[in-house]
Amino acid sequence: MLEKLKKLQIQANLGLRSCNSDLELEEWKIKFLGRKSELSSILKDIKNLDASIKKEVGMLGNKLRTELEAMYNDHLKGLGSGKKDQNSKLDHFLPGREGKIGKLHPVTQTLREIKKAFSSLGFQIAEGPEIEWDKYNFDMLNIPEDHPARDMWDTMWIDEKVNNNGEKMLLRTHTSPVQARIMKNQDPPIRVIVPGKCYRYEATDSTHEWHFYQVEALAVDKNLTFADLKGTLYEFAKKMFGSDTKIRFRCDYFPFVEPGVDMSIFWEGKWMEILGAGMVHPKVFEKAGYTDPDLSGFAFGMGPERIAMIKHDIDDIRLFYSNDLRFLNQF
Amino acid sequence: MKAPINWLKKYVDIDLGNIDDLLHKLTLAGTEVDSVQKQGNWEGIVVGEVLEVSKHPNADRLNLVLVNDRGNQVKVVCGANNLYEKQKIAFAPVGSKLHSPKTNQMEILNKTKIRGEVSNGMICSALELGLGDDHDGIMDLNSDLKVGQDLKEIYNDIIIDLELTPNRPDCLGMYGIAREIAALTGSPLKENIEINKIKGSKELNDNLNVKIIDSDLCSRYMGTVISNVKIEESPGWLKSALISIGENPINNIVDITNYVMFELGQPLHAFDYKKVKNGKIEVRRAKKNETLVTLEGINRNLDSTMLVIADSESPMAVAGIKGGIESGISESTTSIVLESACFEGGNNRNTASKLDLKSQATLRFEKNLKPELCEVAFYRAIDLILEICGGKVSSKVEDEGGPWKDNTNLVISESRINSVLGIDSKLDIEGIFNRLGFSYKKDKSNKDDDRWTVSSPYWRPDLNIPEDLIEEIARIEGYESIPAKPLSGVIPEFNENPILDFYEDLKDILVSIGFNEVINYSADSYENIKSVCPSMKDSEMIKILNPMSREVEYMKPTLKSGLIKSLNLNIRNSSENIRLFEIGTSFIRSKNDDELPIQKKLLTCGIIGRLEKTLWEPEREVDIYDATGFIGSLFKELRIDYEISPINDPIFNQEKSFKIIVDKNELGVLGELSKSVLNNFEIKNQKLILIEIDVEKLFSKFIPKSEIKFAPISKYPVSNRDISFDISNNVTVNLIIEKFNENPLVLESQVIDVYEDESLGLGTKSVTIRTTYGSFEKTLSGDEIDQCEKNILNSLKNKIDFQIRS
Repeated sequence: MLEKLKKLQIQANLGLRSCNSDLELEEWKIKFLGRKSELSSILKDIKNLDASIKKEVGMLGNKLRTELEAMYNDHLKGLGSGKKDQNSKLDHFLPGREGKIGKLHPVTQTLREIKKAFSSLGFQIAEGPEIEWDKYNFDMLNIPEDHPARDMWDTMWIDEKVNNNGEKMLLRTHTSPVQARIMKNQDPPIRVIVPGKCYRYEATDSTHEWHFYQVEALAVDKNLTFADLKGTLYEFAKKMFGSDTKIRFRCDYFPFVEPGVDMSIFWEGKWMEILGAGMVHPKVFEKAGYTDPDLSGFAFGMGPERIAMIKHDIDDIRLFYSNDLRFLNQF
Repeated sequence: MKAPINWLKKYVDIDLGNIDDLLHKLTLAGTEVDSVQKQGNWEGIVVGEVLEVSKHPNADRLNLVLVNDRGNQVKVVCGANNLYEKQKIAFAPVGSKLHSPKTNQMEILNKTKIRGEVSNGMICSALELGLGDDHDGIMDLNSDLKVGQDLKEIYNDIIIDLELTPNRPDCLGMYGIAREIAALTGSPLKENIEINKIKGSKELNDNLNVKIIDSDLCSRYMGTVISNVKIEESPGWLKSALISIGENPINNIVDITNYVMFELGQPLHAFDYKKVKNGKIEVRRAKKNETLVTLEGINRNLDSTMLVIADSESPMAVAGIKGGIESGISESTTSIVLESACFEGGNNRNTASKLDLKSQATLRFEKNLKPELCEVAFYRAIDLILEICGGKVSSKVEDEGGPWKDNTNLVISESRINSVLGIDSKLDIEGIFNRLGFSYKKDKSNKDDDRWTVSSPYWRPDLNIPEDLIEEIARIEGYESIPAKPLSGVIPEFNENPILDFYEDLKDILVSIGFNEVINYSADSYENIKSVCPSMKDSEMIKILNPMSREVEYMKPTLKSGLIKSLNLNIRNSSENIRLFEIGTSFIRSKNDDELPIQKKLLTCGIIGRLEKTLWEPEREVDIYDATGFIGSLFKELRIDYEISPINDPIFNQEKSFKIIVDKNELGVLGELSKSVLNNFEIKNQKLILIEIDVEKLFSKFIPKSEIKFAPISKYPVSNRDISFDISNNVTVNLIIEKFNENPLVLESQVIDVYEDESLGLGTKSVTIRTTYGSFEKTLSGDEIDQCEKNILNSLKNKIDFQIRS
């Protein structure tokens, strides 16, 4: 019986050392001090013991109980206060049991930032088909066939010949065709942004991908002006890049706007082009069937990869679609 | 477009001390400066002379050249094939310095031995000196240069490289760029390229007869004969000008036509008059089966959409694209026909692309030059030819075509300008028009609103609507001077598009359960797609006519192949298992050719790799339960009741492939990829679990958070009980779980352990079920739970055979 108590003492000591949490400590308490514990049953059965050892067992048993209770209290304090007990060997440098959290693709993260910036200005989100008719990708946007401006968008084609409606299928080269689709189906006022994938027949290098995202935006209302466009883009650039961002507007050409704009921000000592923009070209309104002469609007488009590259110092656009977790996990 | 400052300075003053300011102005006004290059990125290069050329004894392609280097004869090894005796060359002696594009540093030239022969220097190409892109041969310098002259005295220009937008063909000529500079800086144009009508001989002995047959493709054609010209090397200034923009000088006539094109933006052409049969020129579409050997010696098949310049018999040139070799200028030419014409842009562009001949001429003609420009360039070229090549105009000037609209009159009012730009200040509109060289008339009828009629000038075919003028005003005034105002107007009614939010919610859920998002190319190779869609017909697949490569030739009907590749790529760099997802578009051809393809959004998830032992977790293989568990978490979060049932999909292992069913609709599949598919993607020793779900269907089944109604929570404690069943291997656990769940006091019931062991007997498994009991009315007593358990077991007895283990 006395040996049993000694053994219990050793077991309890060992057991307590590996208790690293309140839960484990409670389990230890139940095991060694609980109603059904061995110690309890020994003490309960003392009355049935031979008188010769009764006293000694009782004494040692009770001593052990007091000792274990004290150990329990000390250990509880040690765990609670973070102070290390002599008995505790908690190594907090060991890895914890982790809960895995995945990550969104940096393009998704950037798109969300862009959407957030514009939704506060009353812009809604729309999408359109990635395989598109040339009519929407070009003609409706004042880029007729044979027009040299078509060189700005090297196109990947699906159809060789026109179909019964005189249309040819292609991989959209920008998200701008969704402009045309929205205007066809919706009356002004319009404030919409269109994120989506685009495709261009373009040799890839560190700044060019044949497969990329674009965010298009369109606002149509009565009497929208160039000053409104500027104000909107300033607001956006400040939300995206910080309120003290220096912004530059320069003249640029896109067939579906007039006047046309290129917006740059001053970033780490250089002017970086961020987006193309302009006032909606009258021909685009005409093709959309918008006839009210008081209507005006502006449109712009930008590449989220480029924005992410600028913000995070990414030096190669091809990383985005390599899907290497060593890249993706950094964001 | 390369624009050398020395050339521009002929027409407009340029303050070299303030050049950065000018370049900045050009950029802001729409003519973006790409780069600026200073000539003379070398030390010690001199004019040398070739004295003797002989073959290298040990190398067929190399020459041994004896060079006059500042009076000394030195021997060098040179690989160029355009060497000749008495040729003036750019010579880099030993010890001179050249810029190395490799190291981007100046490097000293050393004496070397090439195939056993010592080379005491180098004869330079234009590329090596940064003077052009030409590396075909060495630079052929002007013969009147002095041996020993420092090359820096000859080449000391600053070349600006402009990135032009397609609306500005005027800036495809130096005079146009100068005009732009004049407009931006306010300094006047120095030289007025006026039309000098023909001076000289009145004896018109030669006969030239021009006829435009297809006037829809040619609005003007001017031509004349110039006889007694001497074809020779161009004078130094002309050669240098062409070299400075990276063009190769050829002979004086060709160089002059090129020079005028680069000066005024109007392409010109010269024919050998002797080769023009009967002095007749026809501008017409090519006839069936007509061919032409063009200048580079290629026989071109022409078709009836292509415009040609023909004599009375056959084509001499593809109009505005390329001349024929037969009618071209050669050393024996004595009389020429000079052509200056206006061709329709779209047709010119199409023909050039059909013939794959995108020339400097097409770069300009495709932009629909105005017919007035022909005349300016025509007389400018005649002046230069008479001055440089001698000769005289010996036929009448043919000027066919028209009448064309003289100019486009655009009406613009001050109020319109202000309302488009959003300004209320008074701009100096007329000052801007003057700077741009526009002629205009002011309409004084409305005192409150100035109104102008502007005729757009012949060099600006891009000005066609009043808004084009507004851009001109804004860009000359400067975009920065227009204020930025907060967006005015009405916020449109909210147009709900909840599926777009759903995509994002879905991504958030997936990330929260440990999946990383990837975005793959939308296209893949035929083989990869076939591997994951073995039953797909070719006719349903969408082929890209001009793909970037065979690896991305077909639009993907499923995201599986992309995800497999991403998983495989990442497992190579990882010691852990990889969990990825992608939400993207799939493409399947529609049955109707007049419809766009079916473009559906899919969610595809994949897991690959063994879970290695960690401090806390034992090692194990990824298996199908990783997928079913994931589906369970996802569908629970989306509040969708679903079932999975086995299918036979050859891309998955048998018995390890399932479909996901909701209300009898199939939403997607999951399974463990079969060995043969893994082999196709070169994946070895790994299990790969794939799940693909139709996102639009998922969206239609999910219950949005907004529809959730609160369910009351019991205030009484719950009790957990575990029971172990021995059941046949053929019995699925859902039968037991369902029985438990039927009981109203059961809150939740789940499997916490399954094992099979010989001790259980063949075909038997042991399943432990943990059940949570609880009530809304009271705390359940042990007896009540016992009773409840007993009832469940009794009713289960009617369904399956089992033994309870104690």
